[in-house]
Parts: sequence; structure tokens; C-alpha cells
Amino acid sequence: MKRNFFLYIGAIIVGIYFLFPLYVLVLLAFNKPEYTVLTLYPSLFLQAPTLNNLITALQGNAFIDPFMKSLETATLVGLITIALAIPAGYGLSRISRSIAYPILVLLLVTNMMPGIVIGIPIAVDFIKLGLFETVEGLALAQTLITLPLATFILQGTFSAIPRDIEYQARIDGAGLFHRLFSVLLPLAAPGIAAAFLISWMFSWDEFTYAVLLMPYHSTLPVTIYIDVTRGNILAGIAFSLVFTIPVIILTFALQKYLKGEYLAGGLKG
Amino acid sequence: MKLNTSFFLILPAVIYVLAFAFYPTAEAIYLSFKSPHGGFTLFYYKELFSTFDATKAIINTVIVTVGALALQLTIALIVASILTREFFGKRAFSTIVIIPMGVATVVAAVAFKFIFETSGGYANTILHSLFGLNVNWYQNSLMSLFTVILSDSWKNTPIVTLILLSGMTSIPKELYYAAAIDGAGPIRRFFYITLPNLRRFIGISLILRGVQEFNIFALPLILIGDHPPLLTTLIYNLYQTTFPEVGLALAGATVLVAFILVFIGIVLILSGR
Amino acid sequence: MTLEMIDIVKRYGKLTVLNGITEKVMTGEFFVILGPSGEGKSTLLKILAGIEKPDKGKIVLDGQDITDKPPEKRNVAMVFQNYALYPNMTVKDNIAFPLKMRKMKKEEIEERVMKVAKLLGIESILDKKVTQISGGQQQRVALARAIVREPAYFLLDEPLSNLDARTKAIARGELKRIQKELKGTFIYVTHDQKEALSLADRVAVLHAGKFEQVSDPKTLYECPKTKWVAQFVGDYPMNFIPGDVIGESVYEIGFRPEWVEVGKGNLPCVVQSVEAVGESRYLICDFKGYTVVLLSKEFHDVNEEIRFEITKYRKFKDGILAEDCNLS
Repeated sequence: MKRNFFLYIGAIIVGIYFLFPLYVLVLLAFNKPEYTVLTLYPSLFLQAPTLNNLITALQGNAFIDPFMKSLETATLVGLITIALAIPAGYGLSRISRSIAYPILVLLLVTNMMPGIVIGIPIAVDFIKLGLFETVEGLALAQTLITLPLATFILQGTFSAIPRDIEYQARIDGAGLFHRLFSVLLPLAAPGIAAAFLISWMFSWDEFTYAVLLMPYHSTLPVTIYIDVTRGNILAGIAFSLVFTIPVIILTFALQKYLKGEYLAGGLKG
Repeated sequence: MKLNTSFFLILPAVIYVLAFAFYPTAEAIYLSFKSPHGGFTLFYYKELFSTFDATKAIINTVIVTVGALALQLTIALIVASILTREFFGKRAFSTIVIIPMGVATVVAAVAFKFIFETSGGYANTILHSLFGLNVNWYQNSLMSLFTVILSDSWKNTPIVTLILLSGMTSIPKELYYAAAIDGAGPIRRFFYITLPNLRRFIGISLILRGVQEFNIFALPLILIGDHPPLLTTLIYNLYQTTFPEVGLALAGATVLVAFILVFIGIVLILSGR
Repeated sequence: MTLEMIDIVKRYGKLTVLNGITEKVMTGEFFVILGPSGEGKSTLLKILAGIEKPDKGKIVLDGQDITDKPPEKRNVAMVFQNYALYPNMTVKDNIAFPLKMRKMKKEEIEERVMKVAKLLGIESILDKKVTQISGGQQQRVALARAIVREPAYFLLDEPLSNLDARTKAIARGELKRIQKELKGTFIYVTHDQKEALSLADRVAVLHAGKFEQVSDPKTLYECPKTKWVAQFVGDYPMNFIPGDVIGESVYEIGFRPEWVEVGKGNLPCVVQSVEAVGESRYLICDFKGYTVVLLSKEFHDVNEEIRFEITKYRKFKDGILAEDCNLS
């Protein structure tokens, strides 16, 4: 059928576009350097697959340090984000739409502020506050990116929990503590997990604040940047690959949540 | 009582945002006008536009933004249209289309850096073996910007695709059936039904991605450094070189903020929301 | 135990939903609040539960003012229209929850839960997740959760409205049986007049923010205090015609479809349509320009001209019952 023909052509072209760079990454990581960086026209095929690149690059502190920094920062960002977003999402789900909407828009707008613009004053302030070059400081700044989406997701999550259940819990005699931990949070758990993981991923990926607030002994993205632009290319490539794998896995796992009830819930409620 | 506790719950997040977004922005704008001696000055702005040719950076940024938006919307429309149908290999295809979203910006930048080189590189390997060509992807401003557009769109088309896809699936099939019965072919149906109903979603994508395109930083930094400069990379450079004097960089930053606000304003007016 | 509502007023913005509700509910009573949807019944119930506070007025339980007491501190149980079962818990945990909140001992909780499960016939599903049971079973679990606490009074917000017709009929009977067995005080809200009449010891009809009438079902049916109540209660609204047709020129006459004899008398009527319910035929016919519903044992055709006489009627003036009505 003619229509399907165009469809397949289109799909193949787009497919190549999306897959090629990943393939290049694989080549760069697993091909001997003679076939990649040391030659003018790098080979399009795996000529001599080797694990050497990865092995040398991943040993030692040059990798472990930035890796740990990224890990700590991302986890801290995840925690701070849900600490702020859970109450905010819950509060927004319980007040009238006309007031909740402007607040959500406010959060969205902050997402649009360029990292560069905010990062520079924050860097200056952090130096004064002693938060410069610290994981805590960076985590605080990166939360800015993660908070809006996390709040949006959690607002949707809590909107989907019927109010009657909260009334019922009160009538059944549950005080605030029990209402939270026996009823609300267990029901909101999937949304909370999604918000945490998405925030974690955003932080893992984040570059701008990292390069502004922690320029010297930094997280993986900045380290990769420095490596690649200052000549330590192979290391940069190896890090990139290791760096990417958990994120791709997480993206798949989260795809369900991103598409499903949480976004819709946020839009409905 | 309900109302009060809810507001207290939202407060921490709001305070955080005020402290970490609005205050620094205000600080940035304020400091860009403040001379080292404490008075009001336009010195930084003058320097910005004369010595450092900020105008060029602005133009480059606009080129990248417009180009990237156009490319992303086009590809996303095509991909979303494909995904509304059922076909063999759809599962694999929809997975492939989402993957770039999960690749870190830095990693994508590294990959593209090796694809597009001034001489050699993976792209040239293909061109060379097929046509004997060797293209210098950075030979002039426009080419360099094109490289950035292509690389940036790689990572960001998926989110636009998701938005447009959710929009497309919300269009009732009956509209298409009715149009087909009335004699409209697939192209007509696309322009008369699909596009108009997608207006809202296209608008959302434009705002979301448009602002983010103005802000792209990591990718151009890795790919082209600051030749040619975009507004963001220019700001970063100034920051690095004039630190701890940040007035110059912040002047650039303020210009960027101004642009973003104007952009948002334009899109809002155009989409009539 | 008496539960008193004293002059309850509740407004939402400009709308006054409850405009001075005053009534006493006695121990062991099945007290039904009947009214059209969206007119404040649920609001009143929420005030009785403590989820909402009235703008004016008091709730007094056995002489104690509990208006300001939060729901956790009132000894009241509530069953919501959607049952509000905790989705993340099993049936057993749901029922045990209020007892856990009151920090009862494990053995006692176990004992009580079992007792209640038996009463409602749900022992077999105790270990199932509440999302895996049927609507009828969910309703029983919600009821069990309320009963297990032995509260001072029960509040039920249209608990049968989500059931299909057949389950509803069975559940109705069971509900009444359970209430009598427990000797519990049930305050039950519904818009279904049939439900109200079959379940209640007393019915309070809520209209325009007030209790337009509070009486036992029979009185409500036979002696409605207002035209509105007369037309709201009953499978078919009470028929109303100007009194001069039968010589009561000052009044408006109300009569129920079964208070006539078709075939006798000299009131003419043209049949517009016929509704057969079981063995009865309800004839909707045109009487001198007025549409009335008559109950007939025999079949009559559409457009047939029939005669009927009114054997029982009530006199109304300006929409209010204008005679002493005694149940005979």
C-alpha cells in the first residue's frame, strides 16, 4: 500500500537519525583508538572491539570522584525536591483550581529562567555563604529545575486520591500522622517515586549550574566537558557511556509514568 | 481550616522558588546596572554591544532558536503522525524515538562532536566514501550553527513528539471519517483537521522549547565553544574572564532575560491565550 | 441518646444551602433525610460528621455541644456514597483501621472484626484487597467498618446509589435488618423517595434549605404538608386540580393515582399513554386540560375516553395542606 510505503521510509530515516549518534558512542567506546580518534575518517564499523578504553578510563579517582559527586548531588536533589513537592503538590490539589493554576504557572515560569542568568548571582552569593563548590549548594540550585515538574506530578497524584478517603480516615479517628503515613503517602507512592526518579535524572544530567557552582572538582557532566575539550578524549568518551546507561534505563522505566495518569491527573485537577 | 493548612503546605516550595529564582534574577538585573563605585551605570551594556559584539550573539541565538524549533516541530509532526498508526515494528520505533531523551546533554554533545568535525569525523566518513567529499562543518558561522541545531534537535525532538502525539490521539477519529467521506484526501485531512486541532499543543511546545532553545548552553559550549558565540556562551565567557567582576556578564544575562520575556509575550499573544 | 440539630445554617458564597435546620433524632431511630440531588443533604451530613462547620447553629449530643469537635473526636461512623475504602489495604485491615486508631488491643480487634464480618456475611473475603471485590461486597465492607466501632450514631450518604437495581433491593432489606439488630441510630441521606419510604422510621424532607416535613413514611405519603412534598413523594407525583371541579371551590385538590375508581363516576378523561407496572395500569390522561395519572386494574387504549371518580383527596390552599389529616 502506497501509504505504508511512505510511512516506512519516514520511519527508517527518522530511526537512523535517532540511532546513529548512539552507535557512534558505542564505536568510540569500544573501538581501538586507531579506528576512532587517531584517524581522519573514523571507521563506521567495529574493527577491533576492545574493552581497554573503558577499563583504563574507569579506574582510579579520575572517574570515581566525579561519579560520586554526581551520585550524591542527584540523590540529594531527589530528596530535597520531594520534600518540597509533596506538601506543595498536596496543598495545590486541595485548593480551588483558580488559585492553584497561577501558582503552578509561577513554578513553570521559574523553569524558564536561564540557568546562566540565575547561576551567576547564585555563584557570587554562594561564595559568601560558603556553599560554593559544595554538593549541598549545587543540590539546592539544581532543585530549581526539578521542582516544577515534580510538583506538577504530585499535584496530579494527590488529586486522584478522593477526598472522601481523607474524611473517612478522620472519622475513623486517624490523627494527622496516621492520615499521612497509613493512608495518603502509600496511595501517593507511585507518584512520589516518579517525582524522585525524574528529579534524580534531571540532576544527573545537569550541566549549567554544575559548571558555574562547582567548576573545579565537579560532577560527571562537567568532568566530561573538561576532558573532551582539553584533550583527554578517551576518558571523556568512556565516562559518557557509563554515564548514559542508567539514565536510558530510567527513561524507559519512567515512560509509563510520564505518559500516564500523572500528567493527565495534573491537567485534570 | 482546610484553606489555611493548604497554603502553609505550599509555602516552602514558593519560598524556595522566590529565594532561588526571583531573588537571583533581580540581583542579576540590579548588578548589571551597578558600577563598581556604587552608582547607576550603563557601562556594561555599552561594552557588551561594542567590544563584545553582543548583537552578533543575539542574532546567532535567534537563528538557532528558530531553526531548532522548525526542525523539531517538523520531525515531531512526522513522527507523531507515524505513531498514530499501527504497523509492524511500531513498538521498536516508538522506543527508538524516545531514547535521545534519556541521553545526557553532555554525552550527546560528545557524540556529535565526533560526528561533525572540521575535517574527518563520522559524518565525513560517510560523505567521503559515498561522494569523496570532506565537509568542514565549522567553516563559517552558519554551518556551525546548523550543527548545533541538528544536535540539539536530536535530543529534544522526543519531548515535542510526546506532546504532539498526546494532542493527536485526543482528536476524535470521527472527524477524520467524516472528512474522508466528504472526499478529503490524507494531505487535506492533515491540514484541515490535524493541524488546527493541534494548535494548542503546538503552542505549548513552542513556548516550552522556544525558551529552552534560548537557553541552550552545554551543547554549544562543547560543540563550538564560542565561535560563533551564542548569548549564553558569551555570558559564560565574560563571566569566566572578568570574575569576580560580574557586571559585564550580568548585563548579557539581563539581555537574555529580556529576550525570553519578549518571546513568551509574542507566543502568548499569537496563540491568543 | 438524642442527637439535636439546632438552627443549622450553612452558606456557600451567596447560596444559602441550609437555612435553619432544627430537629431531634432519637436512639435507635432510622432517620432518613430525603431531598433532591444537590440541595444540601450531604452538607448536613458532613456537618453532623464534623467535616464541615455550620455558619450558625449547634449540634448537641446527649446534652453536650459537639459543634466544634473535629471528626476524630466525635464518636460517629460514616459510610460514603463511594464507600471510601482504603485501596492499599485488605478488607480485614479496612475494617480494623478505626479500631487500630483507637489503640485497641490486638485480640479485641480480631474478635470484633470477626463478629462484624459474620453479621454482614463477608468472612470469606477478609483477606482480599478491596479493589478486587464487587460493588455489593464493597458496600458491606464499608458498613462493617462503620459498625465495628460501635459509634454513638451512624451517618450514611446514599450508600446504595452505586448498586444496580437488583443488588439495591437486597441491600435495602439487609440494611434495615442490621439496623434493627444493632439497635443503632442511623441517619441516612438519599434522593430516592422509594428508598426513604421503605427504610425509615421517620423521614425529613429537605427542600430550599429547610425540613419541609418530618414524619413517618405513612403520614408523609398520605398527608403531605405541602404541594411540593406531595409531588416529590410517591412513585407518581400526586395529582393536582382546581377544586371547583368537584365542588371545593376555595381549594386545590390533591389525589394519588390509587385514590380513584376508573369506570365509575362522571369525570371525563382522554387516555394519552399507559404504563404497565406489574399487574397495575397507570393511565396518563387528559382531564379538562390537566394531566392526571390514574391507577386502573383494567386495560384501556390510547385516545380512549374514560370516566373516573375520586374516592379520596386532600385539600390544599396556596400550596399548603389545608385540612386536619388523620391516618385512618
